Amino acid sequence: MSIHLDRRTLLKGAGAAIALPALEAMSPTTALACTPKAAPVRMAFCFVPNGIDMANWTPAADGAAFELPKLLKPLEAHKNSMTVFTGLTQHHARANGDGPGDHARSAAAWLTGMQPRKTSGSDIRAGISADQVAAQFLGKETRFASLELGCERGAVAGDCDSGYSCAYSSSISWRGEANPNPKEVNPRLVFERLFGTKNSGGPEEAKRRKYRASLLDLVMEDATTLKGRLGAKDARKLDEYLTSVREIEVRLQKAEAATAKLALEGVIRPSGIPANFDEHIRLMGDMLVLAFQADQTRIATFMFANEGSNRSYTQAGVGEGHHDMSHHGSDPYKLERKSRIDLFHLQQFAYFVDRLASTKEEGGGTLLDNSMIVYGGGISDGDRHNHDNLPILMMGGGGGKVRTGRHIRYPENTPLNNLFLSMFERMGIAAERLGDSTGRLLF
Amino acid sequence: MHSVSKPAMLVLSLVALGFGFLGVPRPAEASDTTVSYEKDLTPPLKKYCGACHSTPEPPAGVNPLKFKSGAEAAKDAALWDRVLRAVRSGHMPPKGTPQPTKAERDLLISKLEGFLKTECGMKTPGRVTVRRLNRAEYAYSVKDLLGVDFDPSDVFPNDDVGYGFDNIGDVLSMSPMLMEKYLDAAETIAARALVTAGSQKIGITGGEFKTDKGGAVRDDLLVLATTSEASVDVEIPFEGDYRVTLTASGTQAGPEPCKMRLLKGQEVLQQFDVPNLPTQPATYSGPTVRLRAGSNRLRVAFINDFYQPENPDPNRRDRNLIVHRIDIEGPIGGSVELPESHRRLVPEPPAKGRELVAAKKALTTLASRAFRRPATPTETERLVALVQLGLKDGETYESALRIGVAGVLISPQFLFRLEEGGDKARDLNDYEIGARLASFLWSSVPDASLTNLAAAGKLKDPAVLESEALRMLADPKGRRLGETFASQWLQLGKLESLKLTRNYFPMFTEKLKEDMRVEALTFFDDIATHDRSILDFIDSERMFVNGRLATHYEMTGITGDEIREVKRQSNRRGGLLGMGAVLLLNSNPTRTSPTKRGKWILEQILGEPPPPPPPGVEVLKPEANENRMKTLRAQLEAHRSDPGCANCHSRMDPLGFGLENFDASGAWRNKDNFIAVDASGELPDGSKFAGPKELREILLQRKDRFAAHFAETMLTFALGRGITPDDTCFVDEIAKKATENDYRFTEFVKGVVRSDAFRKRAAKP
Repeated sequence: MSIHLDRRTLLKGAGAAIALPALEAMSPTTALACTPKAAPVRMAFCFVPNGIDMANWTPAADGAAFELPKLLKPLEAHKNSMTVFTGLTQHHARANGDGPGDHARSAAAWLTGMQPRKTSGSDIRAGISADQVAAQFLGKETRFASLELGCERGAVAGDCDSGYSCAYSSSISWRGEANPNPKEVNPRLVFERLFGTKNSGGPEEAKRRKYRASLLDLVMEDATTLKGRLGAKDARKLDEYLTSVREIEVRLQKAEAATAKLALEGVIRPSGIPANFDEHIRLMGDMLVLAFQADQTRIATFMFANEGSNRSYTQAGVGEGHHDMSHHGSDPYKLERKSRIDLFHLQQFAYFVDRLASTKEEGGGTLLDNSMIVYGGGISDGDRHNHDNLPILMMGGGGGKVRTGRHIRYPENTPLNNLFLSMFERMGIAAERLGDSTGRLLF
Repeated sequence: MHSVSKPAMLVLSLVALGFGFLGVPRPAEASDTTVSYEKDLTPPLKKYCGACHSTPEPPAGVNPLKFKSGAEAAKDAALWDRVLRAVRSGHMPPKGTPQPTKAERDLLISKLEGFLKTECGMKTPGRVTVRRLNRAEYAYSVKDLLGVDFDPSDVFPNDDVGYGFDNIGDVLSMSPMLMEKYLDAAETIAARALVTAGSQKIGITGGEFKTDKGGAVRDDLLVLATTSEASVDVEIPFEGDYRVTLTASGTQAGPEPCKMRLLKGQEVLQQFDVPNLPTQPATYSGPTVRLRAGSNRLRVAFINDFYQPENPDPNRRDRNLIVHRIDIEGPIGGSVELPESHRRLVPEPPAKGRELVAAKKALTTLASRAFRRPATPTETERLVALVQLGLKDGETYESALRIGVAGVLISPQFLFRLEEGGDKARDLNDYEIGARLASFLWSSVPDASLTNLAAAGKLKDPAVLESEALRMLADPKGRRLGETFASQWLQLGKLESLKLTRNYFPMFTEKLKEDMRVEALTFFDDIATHDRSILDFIDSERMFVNGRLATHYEMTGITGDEIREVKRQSNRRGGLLGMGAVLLLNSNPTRTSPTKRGKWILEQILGEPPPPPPPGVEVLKPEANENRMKTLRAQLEAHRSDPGCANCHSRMDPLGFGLENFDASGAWRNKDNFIAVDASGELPDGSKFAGPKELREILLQRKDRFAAHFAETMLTFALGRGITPDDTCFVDEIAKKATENDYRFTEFVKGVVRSDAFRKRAAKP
């Protein structure tokens, strides 16, 4: 056996060690046996917290002839696939009478456009998020209706922001108004959900699926009977259980069709959470590329960090906490550090975009051509906590339905949700309203 | 004394915001009490609050003067509770407005308390929403039910937190992702519980090693390129002696061959020289090693890294160890011992044709414990049908029984703690009380003793309930309260993600951080086990340290890894506020935060949380560069000069200043930024102190407030719901009894389980 060992690559760890083969063989399962049809359009939302150094984000010129400012430079190679949206607002991230808590609100409102209820205990409520609306329409096409990824788990102690439950600052994806979707933060577990463990497959697998189906039938019956014997509020909790069981049943049926295809030769299983943050983000990005490529899902959210996160970025040379630096008070020292963190995030995002762009699709073009990947956050300036003029950009051509390579400026207070409606339209989703939307965004 | 802490306040603020809050308790009608709204409350409230609060849009939506009569006023307990807490904590009336004298304030407090007072017997016991097991409860229940160790912490998503705890029924939700994990877990656990006979051959490729602590995986190989190690968890069905064989190679450089170590846990099993090249992998057989049933962690370490990039021979520049695979074979010799989990479910192999009878017996027992009440015949039959399905497919009895076991583990009856019945008030039945006890004290399902008492109808008897609670505390499983209750009360979970900036704190290590966490838990455990006074949390002679902590705390004569009890060597430390964990978790990566520390004391010790900052105000904002040279105290003082900030910060910051001698890592310091530390503080009531010792004394003066807050915190955890103003009388009763009994820990536990809130359920949530 001959292996070439490059020390640098090895030291970079699991993220870099993933050698991805040409995966055409495993791309869209449904399409395998038939003639290739138009590749599906994928949608993802990548979230970064604590605002962005807007002076180095917003391009000076509008239209197609714009220069990339410092923060967008890492995406230079894909400038033609980029659309920068300036002037969008998430109104319901604002206090609107609820006092402080901009971090929590801005995450929970980012894709919902609804005012999150201020509570740190029972009765959390925001709204259904754009990705989940899409999942309702398109989720049945794939094994996973949607994927929720992140690099930081939900917080484990106390309320997270001025009386708002931790569920808000750690969730952008909301299945229902009271149901934030938990995120997967471990790349290994994402991989195993998508493609099974080493031992899956074969005749044992078929048996196992059969037993699983019987198990689910049993608990379904159980829960249904039980529900009738409970009070109203308790019955709602049982409903969550029933809905979940139903969804797993569907997934199980789809798995049957899928497993045969997923001979992932040459793909290396991630072994866990990489120690370095850049590798962690990249590896999660790799997982998302795999999921899209194998058509396991078409919809995803990815929180690089939770809103209000105060982690330090030693790899970007910032020892202080991100949240602390975002409250720069115009102090050049802090501003510079905040900007470095933003750049770091965009560099990792650029890696993900590179991967999308280098993944060929069966029917021609690349994964990036067939995607709409939104990147940004629900806070504009981390010091002012304003929710207008948000940092929002989109990568990808949406299957030829997005005229890319432009910077577009909208009137003040244009709802961010209008963008989501426009994305729905390009994916063939018949949703006319979402949260505080007022119409489709023209681009 | 009345107390409703932060969670309740949040509920209350919802009320103020107009969200429905059915079943808001009522204070006694005005005629029942000696306190008169018109005579006792209105005059002082008019004098000190009216100017701001008696307006159409009063601050915080609170207008205590809006009521037309005492009877009407008495209906709004939520409002009076807020008023009482604001006046008691001193943050109302705000600084800069006319202040009542101390006597006036005390009188108003006692009148407000009187106005809110009612008999506990008349109070609603509250309603606990059906509760999904959280991760800790799931793991402990599985362990107690089946004897299987299963760690869900990496696999299940984090449980949402409400009211400071992760066992709150209202916020514990279920998602498809979690359901999928429950299904996977049920199968894994069932397979661990029931083994199939025969000798085992387990082969694992290098690519399956965990590289969290170093190394990298490349194709199917594990590559250790620096002095580092990687681990693998080996699942073994039977305890026994196993042979471990490694297949390895290395890129060779420098004077010696690659050196590889095989370890089990911390124990080095064997060290090998690995001179062969990657093209010629060779096998290295280790000693036979005792592995237990379940998961065993084996580790491979590379101990002699060598790197000389300038070496002229490119093949001699870099020494790396490559692990191709690890093979485990056994058990070797001796009779095979079936794991206990297996013997519990299959005491003896069933005779041919008797499999379903045996399965029925095993699953009835299991389901009855897992469901926390006797399983019904229908439930058992359905589980047996699963086993039958497997047998029909030609599975062995053990494999088929696994399906039934998995069926129990994903049943809603197991995953949720249910109290059936619609919206009717009632006493809990014996089984439900047993389930609540087991969940509170053990985070698990009831054991045989509780089940037997429930079956005999004795758990409703308060005397039996108390004695069972004490038995459960004394049981080794009672130690779980540290990890479940104390760790959340003290917010130790925050430590996990907390990192200090290395440049600023080069001596601070992850190991030390873990020691700090264990120190805090051991201290709690000692108080619980020895039934000590909870006032020891505020100040104590006893400390629990090992060598590393002792060095960090500048204590002498203590070495070694093991954390043990010692007497403190100076009065710098004592109780929670001298502990690294508490000081650290309330710090920022580069500096201390007197505000966070003060807030922690207000919230976790006194139960008087400051309200959230008003709109538009944000955290510390140094105006200009030169501020970074100022001490933190000077910056905070500037911040407090803003009247919008002053009211709350004058409560938080001084408490935190008292701890300024402890840096962010919890180490003692005399200077900060080259300026002598000033650890003095002045509280809103004018009391002054300097340094941690005097701060502790100040807190001890408020020991009854602490006792009430502790009672309330424990009640929240025990019930798995937020505390409402209605619960105030339960809290007071628990605290009062404990106060009369030297603040002893078990008095709080007994008080909680005796309370109506614990033993009954109300009609409406």
